[in-house]
Amino acid sequence: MKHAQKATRFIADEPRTDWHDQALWFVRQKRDLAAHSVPEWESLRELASQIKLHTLANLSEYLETFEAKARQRCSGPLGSQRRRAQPDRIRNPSERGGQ
Amino acid sequence: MRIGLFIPCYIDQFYPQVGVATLELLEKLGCQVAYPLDQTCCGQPMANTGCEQDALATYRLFVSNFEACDYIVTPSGSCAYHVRHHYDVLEQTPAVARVRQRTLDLSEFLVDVLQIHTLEARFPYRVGLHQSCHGLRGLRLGQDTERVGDDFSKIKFLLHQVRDLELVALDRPDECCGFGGTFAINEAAVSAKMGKDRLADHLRHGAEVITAGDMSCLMHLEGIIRRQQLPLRVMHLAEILNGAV
Repeated sequence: MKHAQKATRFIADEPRTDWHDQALWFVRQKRDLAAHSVPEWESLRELASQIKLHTLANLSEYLETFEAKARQRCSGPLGSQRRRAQPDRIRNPSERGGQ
Repeated sequence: MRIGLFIPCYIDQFYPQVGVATLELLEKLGCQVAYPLDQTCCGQPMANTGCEQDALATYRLFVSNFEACDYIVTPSGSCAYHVRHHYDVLEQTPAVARVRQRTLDLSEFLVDVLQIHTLEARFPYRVGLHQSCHGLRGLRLGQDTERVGDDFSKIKFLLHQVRDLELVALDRPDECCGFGGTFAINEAAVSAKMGKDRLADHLRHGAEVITAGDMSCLMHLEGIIRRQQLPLRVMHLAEILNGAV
């Protein structure tokens, strides 16, 4: 079923729709209250946005580094508990179905 | 100063009085206004539907119609935004760059270029301001509530100059009306519900007239007002500033 059809069914119950709307707006207001109490909010947000962009742009490199370090730390003389925690090779999400 | 007036396609078709009000207002303020007769549309409806390539010829027509103007003024934050931000897919010739830079929404032109501080207008009604997403968040005609910083609004700055106009406070001063162009067709139920919720906010606070810098939002809201026979009417900012009662 398409989103628009499901939405039509959902919205047919208007009191319930309004309840959801109010609940979400309540969260939004709490967010605004918190954000407006931090004067440097926008510069922090911009910085966070840059970190996110950088991370996404270099994600493959970070994942490979993470995998190599994780393998390094789990090899060598280990107790059985740590061996059980040995990491799987990082898989492409499309391979996950075979697990 | 050569002003080119761009009247959006839907205003031309459905709300010609808004185009007339914009022209009268600009002339009253001493502008020499030209209306290129070959103008059609800014191309936004096609681009928003995913047919950007089909819109390119429309973009080029817009540029050739207006490249000789010092400013291109339009009573639509949405169209101004489209020209400024989405004509980046054209080859950036000097003409394209110039048109993109100089296409302004009416309220921007009045506040930033003409620097209007006093208007000869009277409007003795309780008015609710609808802030269109493209105008507010795209062109930054005002401070949106989710951002932290000083509050400002170019549209309110102009409305405050209108005698006897009472601006009502809303519970949600900058929520979307739900129109969104073809969104209103593809997601009709959500779109209509968003519009109903907006109108309820205005009614709760005793607004008699809803105004905006974008007639497209008002067109959507007016459709619901008519169907539900609500005691509200919509008027574009240009009509109020032009002194119409």
